[in-house]
Order: sequence, then structure tokens, then C-alpha cells
Amino acid sequence: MRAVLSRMAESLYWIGRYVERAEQTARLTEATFRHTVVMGSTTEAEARRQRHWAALLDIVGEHSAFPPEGPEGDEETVPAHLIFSSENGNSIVECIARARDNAHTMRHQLATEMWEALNRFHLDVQRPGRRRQAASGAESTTRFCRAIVDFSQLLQGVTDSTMPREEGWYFLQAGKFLERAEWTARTIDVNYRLLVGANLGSGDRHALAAAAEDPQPWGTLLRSLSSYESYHRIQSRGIRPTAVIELLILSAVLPRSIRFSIGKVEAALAHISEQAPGYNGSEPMPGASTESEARREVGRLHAEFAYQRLDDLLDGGLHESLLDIQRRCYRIGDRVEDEFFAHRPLTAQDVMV
Amino acid sequence: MPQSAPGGVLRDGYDTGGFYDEAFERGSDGVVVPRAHYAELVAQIASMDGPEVRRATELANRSFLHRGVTFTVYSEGEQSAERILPFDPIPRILPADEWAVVEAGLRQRIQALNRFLHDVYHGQEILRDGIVPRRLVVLARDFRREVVGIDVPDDQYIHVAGCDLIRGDDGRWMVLEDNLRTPSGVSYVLANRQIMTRTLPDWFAELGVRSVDSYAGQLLDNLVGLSPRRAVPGAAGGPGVVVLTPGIYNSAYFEHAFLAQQMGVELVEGRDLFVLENRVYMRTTTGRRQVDVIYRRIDDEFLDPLAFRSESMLGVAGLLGAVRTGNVTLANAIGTGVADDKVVYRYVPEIIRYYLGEEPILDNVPTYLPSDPEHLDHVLRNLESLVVKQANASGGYGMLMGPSADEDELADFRSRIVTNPRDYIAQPVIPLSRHPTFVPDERGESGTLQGRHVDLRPYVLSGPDGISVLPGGLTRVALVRGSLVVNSSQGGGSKDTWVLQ
Repeated sequence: MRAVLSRMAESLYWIGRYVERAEQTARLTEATFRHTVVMGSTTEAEARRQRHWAALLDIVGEHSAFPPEGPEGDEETVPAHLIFSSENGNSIVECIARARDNAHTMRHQLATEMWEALNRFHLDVQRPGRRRQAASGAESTTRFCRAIVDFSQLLQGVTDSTMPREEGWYFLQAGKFLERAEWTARTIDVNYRLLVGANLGSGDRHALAAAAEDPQPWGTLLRSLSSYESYHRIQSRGIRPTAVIELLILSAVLPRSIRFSIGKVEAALAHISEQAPGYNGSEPMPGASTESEARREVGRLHAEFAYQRLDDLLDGGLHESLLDIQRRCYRIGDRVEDEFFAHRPLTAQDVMV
Repeated sequence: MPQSAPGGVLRDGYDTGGFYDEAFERGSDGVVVPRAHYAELVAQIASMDGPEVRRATELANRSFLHRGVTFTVYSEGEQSAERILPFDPIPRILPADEWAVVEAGLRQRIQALNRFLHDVYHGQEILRDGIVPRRLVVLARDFRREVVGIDVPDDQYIHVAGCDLIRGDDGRWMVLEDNLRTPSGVSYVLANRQIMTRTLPDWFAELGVRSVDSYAGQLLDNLVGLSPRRAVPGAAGGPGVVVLTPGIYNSAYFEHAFLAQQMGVELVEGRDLFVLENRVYMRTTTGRRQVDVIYRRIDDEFLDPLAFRSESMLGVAGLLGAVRTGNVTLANAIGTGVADDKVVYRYVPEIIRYYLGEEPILDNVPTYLPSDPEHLDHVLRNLESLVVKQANASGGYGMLMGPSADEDELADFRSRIVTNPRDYIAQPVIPLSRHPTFVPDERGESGTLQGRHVDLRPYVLSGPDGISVLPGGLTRVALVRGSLVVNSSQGGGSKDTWVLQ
């Protein structure tokens, strides 16, 4: 293994995050289309549809783009905002552009195929014609979302088969899976509150039992996390809200569960922090601590998942538990940035030996 | 003229237009025929369909875009844009004997200029002997008094040079500019060759074209050789060689990344480096790692905010101190700009005679210095037939083309020259040689070969084992009909350049 420049590590970490974010947004948009298109056109169905699109905005943290005094987001404006808007820094097109910009700053370190895949796709989605076409109705939009997912899969395939398993690779993995853990936690939380709705006041267990009467939206939740088939295979039974939630949070084998993702982050950070300072001619930075706080935090979270049951999460309140998971993910992200990427200038204190 | 295919690119013949043409000449009977070293290639091209050449051109250019072989264009008030350097598929051929002269001329020139740099930053004998006026040197904007008396490894200042060569009506080579700071473009030489062998492999046929592949390896060897800690390359703790770039917004960023990738070294920005006790380190995820050699693609003035421009965000504070103590080597060394100053350029033939006792192999373009009262008079009276250049500018910026300038521009330059005569030079307009170039027809399906003006920028590397010249170089072509400006920022394109074995 070879030590990487801090800035390169940071770029890889963000490429991992942005590509994952773009793919998740595409999956979620597509799943929401599929779910809402069959609802019919009664006033009540309209309202339900509206709630689903609003929930989507919650998951990506873009609720403020549609303030209450303005028009409500609907199946045209929300996807447009999530996919193409340049005002939304997390829109798919923006995520791809930022991933590409990050790759641009370190293209000398990437395999040509990997850089080219990202650059070509970026050039493609930037074409005005491409946008016009993708924005012309539900079918075109879902097809565009599929293209995003396909691209992400292609990029990951190319990356898997070309990138040396050196430090940079693990930063890419850390970014990707931390993003995924946060995303899954937010998706479950928003859907949970949307689907149990009015029963929220009567306790999690009661609310989930009541929600079991309509399993279909829970299927959509699974689909948006591409875990629908896996659910049936792993749980071998029909869709039950408690089992869905348990799987998405605590499964050790489902690649999109929070536990699985956190495990991947831990493994990546373990590889990274095992590179002792002094490796490959490097010396510790003046004033740097030798213990990795990021690794300790993620290791602890992962260990907790290993011994947790759904009941423990419900006892603490599902919403609160999911919020806590998200907060801890943010903290891990902050620690990673501080420990590995900090461009902080050296202070006089550092220099005093 | 070889038989052209009915829809071929030479179906209308070829017009040399009264210029020196690189590929064609007028025979004794007045008929245009290919020069001997072009005969085979011209026959190949003539047999091809126009649309076929068109497709190959498009394919090559699209491939450059996808691979991000791009540069950034700046224009005032507008956003900078990423563009490819348009590629013309018709290669330029240089026969071995002709190239041998160019190569010898470049070696001679770089050797002399390197001696000049060592001298002006040490004993200043050439100034004392009055060969080059002292004031022109020590008052030059790019004379760096900060490095006076500082020794550099092997007294080597110019590790990488890219001299611009042109040919006028008589086909004689002339040096137009010596680029001794951070010359760019070599990545296009390598990329052009790669795309050429991929899209039009048949054209190489049996010509025997010299390879350009060794450039990155040679550069790396030279850089490693500059390390103050001459350790084993590649081994842990071995010489830390890096390429220092201003970042992705620099017009030559692709090249910086490309060279770093080809050499397998780190591409760093100023913020990745820091100086501690006169040693340079890069920040890695496992701590700091010492850097020994910096191939820098940042101008002197931006290298160290403590020594030069304090507002520079691109450089590394304390870098000059590390250079002065000899803990790090920069390539090129600080201060080379004084030797490619356009006013000093005028004296290069004398510089060659002074240090080497030889006659210059390559000519200069006649150059007038407005700082000399006699020249000033001539320049002001003949402005409309001259090219005026700023002594310190490059890239075709800040230039006056007398014959195509309007009254306002002429008046503007007249007053600028009178105010700051030292900042300008004037040269006669040289009718650059032309080269057949593929010009798409209006419908864009086919096209023909037409003459377009070209220059040549060969790349010269100097290292412990001597001076080597990359066989070929970047042929830049003014794609706009009649234009003499080949700069990429001004509508120029490029061609693959073949030096024959």
C-alpha cells in the first residue's frame, strides 16, 4: 500500500459519496413514480400522491425548496428539482458534476477507464437535449433514472476491476458506505413517519401493527432501496412492517442495510488507520494524534448493531433511534475529515519540537 | 500529383498559394507535386474518400473530449470553458537530415542559454563584457535577484524547454521564441501520436517514424537525478518527485495530470505542501513525506508568497528558503524567465557566440528593440507592417499584428511603445510556411486539403546525461483561413509530427 495525498483521499471519499447519492436519488425517484402512478385520480389519491413526493423531499433534505407559501411539489416539479436543478446542490446532475470535478483533480491516479466513464456520463447528462428528453413525462424520467443507476453500476464495476486495493480504494469505500448508511436511515425514518401517520402517537409497536394492513407502501420502501427480492428471500414471508424495518437496519447480509454499510465503513477505516505513520517514508505530522477517533466511533456503532434487536430500537423510539444513528454517522464523517483531510495550516505550536 | 479518388480530399488539386508549403512544391514545369518525403503519404491520402477522412477526424476529436484532453480558455467577462485542441489528421513529416540540423541547433541554443542563466545569477561576466546590456537584464521583469549567488544542481537551470520554430518563404528555420519557464503542449504530442496510430494506422505504412514514447521516462530520470538526497528511486523513502500544478482551472491542467500519471508521481497543489525547517513536505493520510524535486508548472512569482507575490494562493510559503538551502530542487529553476524575455531574445546569437564560440545553427527572426532610439524610430514609422509583442507575454496575448490592425489599435500601440519602450519588441511579419490541412466542406460530410499556416514547438530536456530533443514536437496550425496566429487560445489546432528514421 502507498500513502495517498490527503487531498486525493478526500476527493475519493467524495466521489464515493456523490455517486452513491446520485444512484440513491435515482432509485428513490423511480420507486416513487412506480408507487404513485397506480393511485388513481381521486382527490384523496391526489393528496396521497402529494404526500409521497413531499416525503421524497424530506429524505433528500430539500423541503425548503418548496416553501408552504409557494406551489406544492408534485410529480413534475419534484423530480425536476431532484434530477436536474442546479439550485439543488444534491440533484443527480450536480452530484455527477461534483464527482467528476473531484475525479478531475486526481485523474492521474485513476484508471483511464474509470475517469472516462465518469467524464462521458457527465458530458452526456449536461447536454440540454438530454434534459429536455428526460423531463418529458413519467416514462422518460424513470428511464433516465434507470440510466443513472446503470451508470453507477458500470462505474462501480470498472472501479472494482481497475483500482488497486491501496489506501485510496478504502477512502472511496468509506465515502460510499457512510453515504449509504445515512441514506437508508433517513429513508426508513421518513417513510415510517409517513406510513404510520396518525397512529404515531400510540407507540411504535401499535403503529407498526396497524400499518401492516397495507403492505404495499412497505414494498415500495424495499424497492427504493433495491431490497425487495432480498426481503422475501431472507425473511421467507410476506411483507410485514416490523420485518422490513428490522431487515433494513439490522441485517448483516443485506448490502443496503445500515448495519452492513457501517460494517463496510469500519473495515475501510481499519485498513486506512492501520497504515502507521512512518509508512513509505512518511513521518507523523507535527501535533497529530496517533489514535483514530473515526475508527473508534464506527467500530463502536458497528458492535452495537451486532448485539441489537429490533425491540431495543423500538424501546428507545424508532424515530429517535434512527435520528441517533444519523447523528453518529455525521460525527464519523466529521472525524474522518478532521483526521485525514484537514488542510489546517501548521501553527507555531506544531513546529516547536 | 497522384491520382485522387473521385470523392477524395485532393479531388480539386492543391494550391500552395505562393507560400512555402511543407508538403508540396512547384516542379520545374510549374506543376504542384508532393515533396519527396511526402510522396508516399500523399498517395495514401489521395486514395481515401473524403467522408472517410472526415470520420477519422471526428472520431479523434470526440475521443479527446471523452478522455478530457482539454484546455481551458479564458475570455474577459465570460466563464472559462473547457475545450479540446482541434486535431488535424494530416501529419507533418520532417526528414532525418533536416531534423538533425534542428536538433543540433536546439542543443546549441539551450546549452548557451543555460550558461547565460548561470552567469547572470553569478559572475555576470557577459554583462561586464558588454555583450548584453546590463540594464536589459537586471531590470527585466523576470530577473530574480532572490536567486543571485544561489547554486543549483549541476548548474542546470533549464530542464525543460519548448522553443517555437517557424519557416518563412525560403523554408529556412528560424527560432521565434524560447520558452524556458513552464512550456506546455508536450502532452498533445503524445496524445496526437496515440490517436493517430489508432485511427489512421495505415498512413504510417513503411515510413519509419521515430517514436515519442520515451518522453515521460526521460523526464522522470532527469528529475530523479536532481534529488539532493540521491537515494534509490522507487524504494520507500526514495526521492520524492512531484508535479506542482496551479489546479484544475489552469489551462494546462490536463497536461500536468497526464505527465504525473505517466511518470507515476504525485500531482500536488500548493496547499498539499508545507515547509518546515527549510524542508518541503507533502501532507499524506499517514503523515508528512519529504519532497526532493518539484517539477513545477507554476510561474516564479506565484511559487512562494513569502518571497514573491504575497497574495498568491498557489504556492508554498517558505519554498524559496528550501531552494536556497539546497533541500529541494525546482525544475525549471527559479529565474529562467530572464533568458526567454523577448528583448534578451534579440541577443541570443551573441550569447551563443560568447559562451560556445560557435556560429548559431538556427537563425533568429530579425527583431527591433524600441528601447534603442534608432530602432524606435523605425518601428514607429513602419508599425503597420510589423508584429509588436510584449516582452513578457505569451500565448498570443498582448500582441499587435500591424497589417491587420485598425487605426485605433495602431495609435494605442504607438503610445504604449513610446511610454514603455523596454516592454516591447517588433518583428517583420513572417509569412509562416503552410501545411495541407483537412478542411470540412460546408455540409460537413466530406472536405478537401487546403494550406494552413503552421509552426513547430520541439521539446528539449536537459539532465545529467546531457540534452535530448524529443523527435517531433507540437505542430500548431492556424485553422482559420489566412490566419498567422497558431495559439490554442486563438483558434489554433494541432497535428501529429513525424520525424523519419
